[in-house]
Amino acid sequence: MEGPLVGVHNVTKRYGSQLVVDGVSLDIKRGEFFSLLGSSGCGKSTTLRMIAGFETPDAGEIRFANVNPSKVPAYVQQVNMVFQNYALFPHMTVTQNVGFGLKMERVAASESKRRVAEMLELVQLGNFGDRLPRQLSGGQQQRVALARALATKPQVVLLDEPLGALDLKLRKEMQRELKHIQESLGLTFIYVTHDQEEALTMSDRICVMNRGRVEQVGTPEEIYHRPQSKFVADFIGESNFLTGTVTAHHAGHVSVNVAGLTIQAQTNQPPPAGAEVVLAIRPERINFTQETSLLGQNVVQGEIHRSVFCGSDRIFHVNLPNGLSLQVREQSDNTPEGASRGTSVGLTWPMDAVAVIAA
Amino acid sequence: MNSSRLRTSALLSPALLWLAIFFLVPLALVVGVSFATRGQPFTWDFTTKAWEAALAEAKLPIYLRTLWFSLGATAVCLLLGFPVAWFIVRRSPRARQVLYALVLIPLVANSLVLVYAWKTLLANDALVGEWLIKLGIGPDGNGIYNTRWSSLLGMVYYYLPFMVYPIYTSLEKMDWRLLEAAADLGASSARQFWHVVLPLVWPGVATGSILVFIQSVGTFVIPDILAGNKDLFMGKMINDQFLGSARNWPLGAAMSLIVMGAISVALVIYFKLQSRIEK
Repeated sequence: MEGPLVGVHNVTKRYGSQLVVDGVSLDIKRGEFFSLLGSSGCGKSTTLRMIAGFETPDAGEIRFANVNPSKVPAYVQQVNMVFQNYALFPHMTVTQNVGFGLKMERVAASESKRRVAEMLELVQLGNFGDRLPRQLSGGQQQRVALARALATKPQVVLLDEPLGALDLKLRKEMQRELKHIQESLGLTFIYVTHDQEEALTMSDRICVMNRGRVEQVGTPEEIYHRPQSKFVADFIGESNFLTGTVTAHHAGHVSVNVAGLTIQAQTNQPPPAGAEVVLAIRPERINFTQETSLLGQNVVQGEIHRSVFCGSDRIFHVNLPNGLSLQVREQSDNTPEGASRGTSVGLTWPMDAVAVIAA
Repeated sequence: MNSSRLRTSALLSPALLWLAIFFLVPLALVVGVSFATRGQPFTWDFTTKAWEAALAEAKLPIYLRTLWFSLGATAVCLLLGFPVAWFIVRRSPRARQVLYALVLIPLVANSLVLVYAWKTLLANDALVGEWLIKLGIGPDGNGIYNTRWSSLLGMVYYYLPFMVYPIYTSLEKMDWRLLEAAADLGASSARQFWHVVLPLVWPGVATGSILVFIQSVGTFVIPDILAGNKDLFMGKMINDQFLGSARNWPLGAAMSLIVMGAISVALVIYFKLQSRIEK
């Protein structure tokens, strides 16, 4: 099997006394759409800038397959970047911008011309070659930035919040387009974003970062359904967090006592009995039920405290008899008859809807 | 259509009035004097004598010398000023303010004081002057005091802030990530500078150059004090016609108009280049 295309090994970066990136290790495979996800200041952009060669790690190493450019400046690497605010050259036309990298590589004019045309076609800006960046809309500038980064056929494309400045509709459209281009050209994308939805919909794998450290690396499904830390469960989507103690081990699942209530949770790495754990349950995995017990399911009784309409879904805050409260997300048109404040309801969720996180 | 034109002229009238009083009237006076007859100080009798004298071949070396030294001062200011502006703009915002103030401080002092300061440094028995002579520097190995080179030095010294300021402003406005983008696409430092920095900072370079050039062409205090009588520049010669021993107002007026012509040519070139850049 082929090794990683980009290997980040135990990389650390400080700015003054501030530890910005703290022992980050990543392996990025060829052809992968890899996202670095986290809130601002989590070190994701700095990590990307180190991969780009704009910053040097204080400790650790970044290795590229085939080449070993650990100390080679950015302009030698076959790594191109799409900058956060595009950083298009304002005094150059779209054609000149896209052709800049080719010019720097001293590609022949005819070949360069062909390649620029091809790139502009790819990003659907075929007729905009003579425009200046300031004569383009944000989305068009974004496409030019992408075309410019792709023109020299880099092995790896780094994207630093490339869609951050676009409005929601355009962002969705560009997400699809980016993913399409990445897949059809077989490119390796390393994508920095603080937008979880963006990361979930586009990525092959996601690395969630927090305070300069890697919290979890995994596929979108793994990150969403099997969060390994409370931070990840909280950062990605919404979760009900319950703190409890492991009381018994079963085949493939554990029983956890949460304030007198026993919850069954599926886990591959069961913590020892008596261990304190945090359980994370997605609101949308909890359903209403008439039954009092279901095989392989958790079933509890509660009372609706509040119900909030939010478009396609409705969120219920349900109080349990042991004093806890759960959020339940149901489709708006699928809510129980007369479900209003004070209504008694049964709640159920499967064992695999519970993620067990070390407290 | 007509009323809007009327309103436009109404709105423009204060500016036009200002222009008329402070520019057109004095200019007309200068033109008038240049055709007047030399006297005490002059009489309004039409003659072209002043113009004949101003355009005489004997004056050509002075004009050319003025031109070369002004271009030279501009070039030296550019070569010194660009790195200074670059250095300042790369500091922290705090350090920038301090450094920038340091560049501007000389402008606060009276130019006479500054130029005299150089005189006390460069004179043959002075601190720097002595060393220059010992080291055999200067056109005759005798220091540069009282030569045209001390005048050039003074011009560069005094006009340098006018070069630094506009370049600094353009550099400050430049998006430095563009250099990263260029580096990322394979541009070496030299090519980043050539393809990205220079085109973007060009307006500042042009503005600084024109400011230094205009002042250099008209300078008279600096050569008067540092270059003595040996070397006549236009500015000094014009000054001499009005206030000095020569006392020839019409000739001074005619030469002033020649200086203005030269500056106008420089400005036209400047605006032509500027508009071409903007296109």
